[in-house]
Amino acid sequence: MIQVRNLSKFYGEKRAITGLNFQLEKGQIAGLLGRNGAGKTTTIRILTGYLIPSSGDARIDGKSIFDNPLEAKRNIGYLPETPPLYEDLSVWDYLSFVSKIKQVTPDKSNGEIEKVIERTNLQNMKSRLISTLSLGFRKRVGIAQAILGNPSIVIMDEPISGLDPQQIIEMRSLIRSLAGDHTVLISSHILGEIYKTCDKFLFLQEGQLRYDYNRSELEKEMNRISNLEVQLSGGNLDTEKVFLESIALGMDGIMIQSSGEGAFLISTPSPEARDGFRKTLLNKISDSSFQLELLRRQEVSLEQIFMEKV
Amino acid sequence: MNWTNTISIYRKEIKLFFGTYMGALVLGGTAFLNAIFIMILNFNGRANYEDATIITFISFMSTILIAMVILSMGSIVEERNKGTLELLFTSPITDLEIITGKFMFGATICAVITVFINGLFPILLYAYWQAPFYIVVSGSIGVFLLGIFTFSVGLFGSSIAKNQMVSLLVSVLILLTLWVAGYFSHLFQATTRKVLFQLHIFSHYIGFSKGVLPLTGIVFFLSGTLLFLYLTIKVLESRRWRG
Repeated sequence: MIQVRNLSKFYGEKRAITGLNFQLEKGQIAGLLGRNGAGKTTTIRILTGYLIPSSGDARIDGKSIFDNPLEAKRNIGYLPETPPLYEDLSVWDYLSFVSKIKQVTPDKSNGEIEKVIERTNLQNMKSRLISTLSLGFRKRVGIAQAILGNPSIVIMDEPISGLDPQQIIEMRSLIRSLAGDHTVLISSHILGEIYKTCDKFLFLQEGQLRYDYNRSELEKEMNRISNLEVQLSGGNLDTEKVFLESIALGMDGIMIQSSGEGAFLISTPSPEARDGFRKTLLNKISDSSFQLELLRRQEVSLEQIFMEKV
Repeated sequence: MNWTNTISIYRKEIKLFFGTYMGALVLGGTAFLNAIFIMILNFNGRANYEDATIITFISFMSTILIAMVILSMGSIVEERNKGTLELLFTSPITDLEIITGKFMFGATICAVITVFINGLFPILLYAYWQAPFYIVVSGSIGVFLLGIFTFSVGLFGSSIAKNQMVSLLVSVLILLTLWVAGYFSHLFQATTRKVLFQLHIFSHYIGFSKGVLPLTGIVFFLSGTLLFLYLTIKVLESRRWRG
């Protein structure tokens, strides 16, 4: 479990994060979202003990990363954006070194290394020098070191950047497999992947936590901002627009825009208003000279939510 | 302090050193330079073995300085630039354990140079160069102490620099400052002169190369080593605050 309370960090006069509060339960996979400079990396670096906060505290399984850093770090596996690799060591030697500094007991060390090598599909690479590996395999070695020793908290900064589609699928399944026993925090710019992988979403903006959604809250929000997409036939664009505007008469806050492909996007202030517009349209279309070719709710991506929120 | 962590860092450093060009560069380069000094100083018609040995061990001072500065210049700055310092900082291991492990590695290589490179020359060449044993022993102790002192200065330089070249310059600047301060100490008033003279690396080392074990020299090199190791740890700690 990760508990963050009033966490702030200043670099001199510059504010990186202020008054951050959130909690991740055991088994949750959370995505940390925000534009460049929003404070994602600073947050992650404080949680992993790399940086000391200016104020506030973060607890890893109840242990303060500030007051009791060694105990807290024992429960953390961390993959930074650039995997921290000693390129002149072989994969096995590197993981062996990591297992020692993570204080995996010597009798379990080899077994643990074999386990993470298998999980990250590095069986054929274990005697290879890291400097000779491709970017994708280096990333896997980075992930292997992060999950080595079975830490209860796994924190990953951009875990899928640089991976090919096959590796992305494998990584997604690996991260999902960590859920249950581990708490996972992922920061990434590839929002589609975050949406597919995570069940909690933290939106950072200018160093502050703006939104903290679980999946159902996020889907509700997606539903709220979703537009209606309508395509008619039997007229030209101008007459079709006039017809749609006549339906919107008396309804507040409805905007009708051409989507540029012969269709219209109807934005409404609420899901209820959208349903009202849809029902009215279906009632009136039969009495008009137009035919309904397409009527659907537009899919909203995490990118759209991201752009609206931050 | 957890010695298992320290030994893990130490073993990793040793493995990287002997697994890359660094081992050959530092050990081979030192042996090569030492061989040139010995050839020039001892096989040039010089009859007095004692003087030749003293001058030889003074020349070893330059080779151990070069070797230790090269060995230490990337020690921390490269970890930071390659991102591996993030691995160490986020693992359950303290800054003291990291620096102690790295220092033990430096001291080991320094001992290897002192015993197997500097020390072997007088033994292997005994038929041609009958170096007095007591000078070889005291000179070797001096080389070792100077070596670990230089390594700790280099570690400090590496902890504050942004790249290896700046690290090298910082270390050389510190060593030169200590040298020059002592060299020009006679230009100052009595008290200042005494203080500056005590900072003079060469004046502390020269005793060892003459066959004695000066207590001030031993204290100077050991306390200087500890001081720069302490400063290095403080620099690492401050980085956690500054980011």
